[in-house]
Amino acid sequence: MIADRAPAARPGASVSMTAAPVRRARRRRIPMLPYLLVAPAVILMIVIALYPTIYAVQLSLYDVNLARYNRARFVGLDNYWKLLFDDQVFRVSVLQTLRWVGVVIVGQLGLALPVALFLNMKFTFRGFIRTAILIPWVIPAAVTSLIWVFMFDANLGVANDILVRLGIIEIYWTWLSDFKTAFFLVVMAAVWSGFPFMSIVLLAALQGIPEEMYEAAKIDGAGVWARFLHITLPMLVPTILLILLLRTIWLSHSVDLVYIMTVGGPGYSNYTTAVYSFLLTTSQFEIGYASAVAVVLAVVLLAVSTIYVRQMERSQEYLR
Amino acid sequence: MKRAMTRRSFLVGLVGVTGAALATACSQPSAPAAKPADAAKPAEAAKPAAQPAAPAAQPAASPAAAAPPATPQPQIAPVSNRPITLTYWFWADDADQAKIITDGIDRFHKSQDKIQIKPDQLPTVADTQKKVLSSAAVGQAPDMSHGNSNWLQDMHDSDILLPIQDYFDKWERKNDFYPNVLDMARVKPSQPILFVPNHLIVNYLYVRLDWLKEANLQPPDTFEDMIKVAKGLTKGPDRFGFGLRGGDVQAISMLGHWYVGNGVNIINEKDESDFDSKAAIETTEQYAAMYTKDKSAQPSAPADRFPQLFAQFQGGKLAMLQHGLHSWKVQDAALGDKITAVSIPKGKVRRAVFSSSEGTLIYKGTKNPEAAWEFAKFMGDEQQAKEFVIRRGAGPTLKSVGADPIFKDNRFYKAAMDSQADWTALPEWHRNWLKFRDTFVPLFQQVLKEEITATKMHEDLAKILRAK
Amino acid sequence: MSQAVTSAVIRPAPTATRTRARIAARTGILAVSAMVLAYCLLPFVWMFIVSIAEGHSQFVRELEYFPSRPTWQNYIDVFSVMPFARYFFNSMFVAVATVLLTLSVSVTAAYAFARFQFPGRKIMILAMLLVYMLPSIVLLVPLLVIFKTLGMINTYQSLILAETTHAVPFAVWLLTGAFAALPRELEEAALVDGCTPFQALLRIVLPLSLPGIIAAGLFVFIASWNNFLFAFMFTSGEDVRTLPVVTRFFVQGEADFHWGIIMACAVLTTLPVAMLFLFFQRYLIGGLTAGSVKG
Repeated sequence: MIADRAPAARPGASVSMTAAPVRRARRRRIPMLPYLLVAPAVILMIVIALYPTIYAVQLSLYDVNLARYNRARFVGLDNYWKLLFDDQVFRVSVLQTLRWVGVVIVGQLGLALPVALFLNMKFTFRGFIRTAILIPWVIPAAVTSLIWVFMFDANLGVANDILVRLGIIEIYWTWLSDFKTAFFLVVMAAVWSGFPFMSIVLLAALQGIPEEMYEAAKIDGAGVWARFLHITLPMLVPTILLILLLRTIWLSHSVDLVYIMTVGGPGYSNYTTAVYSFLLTTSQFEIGYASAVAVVLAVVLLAVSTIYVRQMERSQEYLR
Repeated sequence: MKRAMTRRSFLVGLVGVTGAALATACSQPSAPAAKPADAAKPAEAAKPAAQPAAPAAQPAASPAAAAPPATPQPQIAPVSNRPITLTYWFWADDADQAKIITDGIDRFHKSQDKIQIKPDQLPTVADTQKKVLSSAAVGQAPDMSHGNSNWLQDMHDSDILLPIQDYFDKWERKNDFYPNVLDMARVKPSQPILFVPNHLIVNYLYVRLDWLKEANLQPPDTFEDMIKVAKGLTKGPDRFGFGLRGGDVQAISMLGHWYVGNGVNIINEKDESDFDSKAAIETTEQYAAMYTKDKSAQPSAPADRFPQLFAQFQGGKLAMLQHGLHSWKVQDAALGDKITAVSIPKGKVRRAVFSSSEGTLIYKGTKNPEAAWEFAKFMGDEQQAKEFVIRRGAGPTLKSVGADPIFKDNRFYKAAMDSQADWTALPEWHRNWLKFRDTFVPLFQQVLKEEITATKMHEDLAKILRAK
Repeated sequence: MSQAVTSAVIRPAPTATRTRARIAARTGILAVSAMVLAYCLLPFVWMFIVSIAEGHSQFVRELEYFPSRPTWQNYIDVFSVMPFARYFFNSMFVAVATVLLTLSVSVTAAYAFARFQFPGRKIMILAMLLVYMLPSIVLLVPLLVIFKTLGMINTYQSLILAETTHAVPFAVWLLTGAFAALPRELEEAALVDGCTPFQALLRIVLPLSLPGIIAAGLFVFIASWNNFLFAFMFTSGEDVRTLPVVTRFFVQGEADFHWGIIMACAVLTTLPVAMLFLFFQRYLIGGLTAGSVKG
């Protein structure tokens, strides 16, 4: 949709808006205008994002605790050494992050794809459904946490009540007190709130698949399943990969849902690396070490992001 | 020429738009101007003369839990135009507690005319500590704050507290303090007085008298008694003998009573610890067995915190609950004669009853140390201290307050005072304490769920305690 | 054309089987729709039911699927047991201000990226994308210290500025795409006619790309309204506290109120973003699909 670019873009033309005739004379001067236009955004990002990031890296080189601020001391790469080789909690958190990201993505994709396929069919009220399913995505993570924790409350949860009535369990289950079910609960909340976005994007991709391909396949005698395998899926793969990449990055550093619902527990069942860094800051006041953990996470995600960015570059013309 | 003009006009437009946006973003409305049309809000109407802020409309069954999200601005009779203004930060678990402090501020204002206090109420003790620490780190600490004795060591080490020993020595009230209260105010015997305590938080054990009678049992006096009694009081699907707290860092305080009671040195000034000794491990094993083997602790224990435990206790699910004097009113209101309080059961070596004190801290950056001392003295003096004791449910810092008849007449106060000789504190001043405490929770939960052994838990934690 | 032909040739004449098949298909679609809708919306329905039920204690088992005495009292109580109106206003103010600030800096930057080639352009675009990917937790402590030093803790500014770390890159990305999709001829014609570039931007580009701008604004509003992390870190008093921070208190069980009030509060917290979404879903979905799908 974006590729629908102006045919006026003559190859090789400098796209300066200062009019064409004087182009030759102006080619040596750098136009001021674009810089002025981007200046506010760039300055804001430098002040609010770039500088703090550098500061975070700097902090990570210190052993500094907010409760003993004036005894901060420079330790160089000690924090990194410690967290990579001497911190069992960090190692556990990495595993938990992998598990969290993996399970949620599978859940979200597993739900989003069928729903997208379903919405791709023509029926009258699909617009309504398409809108309705996005509501879980739009609400705050704090409210999502509240709803799911409440529904699965050990004493008052409606989910418990329904499960008991259906005979699936005998007494109310203490969801948040058990390692497996606590994780499962957070995953359910994440899937519920995250799959709609995926669905809509997949739906848009599906609608971009030309009808003729299906017609041709139908004529050739391909059944529904064959059409799906050989036309739909291959056409969707690029989009799916892009979504997966984005999701991986986003889930890896999401804190809201996990922290609000479980504060990382019980045990270490929800202790992702992002939550670990967050708790180090807010509960132990270890801001130096917490920064190191955050920086490590950021660096790893940076590597993943670069893949994404390069993919975007290839697909979005205006980035060239 | 035309081009230069157009660029300039564009620049002007750009700057204008950005400026307008930033101005909108940065306009900090002063409180009255920003308030939306909230004529409908009854709470706001109850402004001037120290009205308690919005009561939580509650049937008795609901627990009066910790920090509600409403932290109304402290309601004090306004004063202004005094030469000295001091900032004072505090927290309160509910509106009644806030009022103890704001009433105190009101009386302070009435008692003199040179100093005015500008209070700021924060939602929880943790928030207050965090805010003080982060403000102090950038040189913006308040003049004073309400605080807890376990903040003191770190703050002393960071040199943000105003030295007050000299002021204290000149105070007539100084000999009225209980010696162990002054010890708490010093943290380590070699240090000077670091703050002015005004009341004590004392822990004890609530027990269901009616169920004890039914089962023909006595309230437990030792740790092992307690485990037996818990088992004896457990019945059927919905009655559990012991309210076990696993969901937050208070888990260590509960269990800590019996680590120390069984003679374990968690950590001391020389960085020595026998947290991985047999005594410590056995304590955890016996305690956790209430959950894993005896089933005398409630099933949701690993994630349960204070509100859940309270609710279950008041809802008639738990027979024993460890908490402190400061909740006596709430429990009494809910359960009345069915309950009483007894001292924390003793371990093999001693009875350990954790208590901490709260009081006024003065920070070094204050421009008016004498004025700050006047306020701290006022809040620690007999009248205000008594207010805390009677209205909050707290232990006395002063002997003259301890002589009050309530300590004999009220069974809860009595239970708290009875253990006075055994009052002690956890080594929360240690530099590794925060990490120890934070790691204790998930490891203990794993022990409860039998994913790791108590031995492993203690070994890991001992390592943290001893870390350089 | 060929489609009509082939379908005319292939489709058999309607028979009973055909109608039955169609009914089956219809039922199937209805069934699946119902399941999907139920999955997505039932939690909200339950939230609402509890909010109109008479207050019951937090831990007493009293489940009423159809409240015997529905009441709006909880919604009234919400405003008296906590300064809810204030929290609501705070969330609203921060969200609106964030949108204004973000759009004003993003529109100009996006226009530059879409229409101009200049040294450093590509680096800037890529840098913005990378900022978007940055975990917020990296920024928490530095921003806390920076804001503390500037005396900006517990102010609206801190929340607004912090939010822009996500809002601006996203808006720039979305708007660049939107602007780039516009044909150049209109602007070039305007320039030839004697408009300044700024006027061209204002009179031609902006109106034409309004859907994209609205979409960007909506996304930024929703993200700001929903934000928890920054609001939690940078505010401590209730002056500036926003709704998600209040909601967290409820989840972690520290509230003094019964579930009826808590759920009423949750409903009110959800309403603005839900309403906004419902009214402008066309733009939002358009924005989602335009940017994310290549070609």
